[in-house]
Amino acid sequence: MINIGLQPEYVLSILGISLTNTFLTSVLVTALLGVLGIVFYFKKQNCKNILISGIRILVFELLKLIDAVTHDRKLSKKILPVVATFFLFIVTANLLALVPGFLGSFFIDTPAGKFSVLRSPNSDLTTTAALALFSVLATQFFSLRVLGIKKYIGRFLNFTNPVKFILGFFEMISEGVKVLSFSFRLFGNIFAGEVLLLIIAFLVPYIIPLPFMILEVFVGIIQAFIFAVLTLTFIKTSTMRHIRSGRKVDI
Amino acid sequence: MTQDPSAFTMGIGTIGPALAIGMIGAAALIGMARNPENSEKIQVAMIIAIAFAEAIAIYALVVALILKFVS
Repeated sequence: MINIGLQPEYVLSILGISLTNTFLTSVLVTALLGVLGIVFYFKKQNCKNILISGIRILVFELLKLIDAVTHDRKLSKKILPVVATFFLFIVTANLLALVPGFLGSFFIDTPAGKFSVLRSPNSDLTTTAALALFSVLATQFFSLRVLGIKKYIGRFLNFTNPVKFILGFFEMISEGVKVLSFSFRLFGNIFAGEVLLLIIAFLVPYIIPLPFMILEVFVGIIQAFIFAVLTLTFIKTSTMRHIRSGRKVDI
Repeated sequence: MTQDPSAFTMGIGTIGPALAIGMIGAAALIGMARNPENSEKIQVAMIIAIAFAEAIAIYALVVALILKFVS
């Protein structure tokens, strides 16, 4: 049968550190987005190029989406870099793996076997776990900065009430579960998509993979959107303050 | 009972999320039909809720894949 690996394959070794093919692809995605960002920065404000205008529209639509959740332009502008980076990285990583003839064309012969040099970054649990960890840490950072350290600790350790103490304890568990949930959602979707495309290409190589590739494009965009919007929602709910009567207000 | 535990995992594990996503969609449609000018907010909330429900099905899928591909 075909060789489907849950583990990523080590293809390169620099200074004694083995690198996986998913890491190489994520470096490629970062370089691509970096070049796009630098080009965007150095063009004038009203440039008629379609790529620059497209990026400007995309970032502005993301800002309006963040506004729809937070209702606060100041907070939206602070959150925009994190949320937009998650969205752009994940959507570029997912769509790059579906460009025909790009990621599956380069092979390298290692002692363990013949592997492809580039592979979709989100099909590896390390990339998605790193993204999930970063997302939860960003939530904690924003919460700490807005609430101050006493109220931040008061979210988790609340000694006024036995019920509130147990709720605070569950808050801590919930943060850990969020890391697992984020990483497994993204990993499961993308890895299962890869396995599906591989098996369909093995069974019927002509024409039939097309609807499945359309599905994978759709799933890639939706998963990137969901990751960004869920990060946004968790940041929003963690920066809301309780006033003394127990109602929640925005800051 | 069954020879293939990964098939059984996927079969049982997707019943709950499928029901949940159907109920979320139905509630969102009722809300949108009752009040069409709030459609945008209801749609964003629906997508988030469906993402949470679908994640449970993805956990079942990951367990099935691990059972199949890790000996």
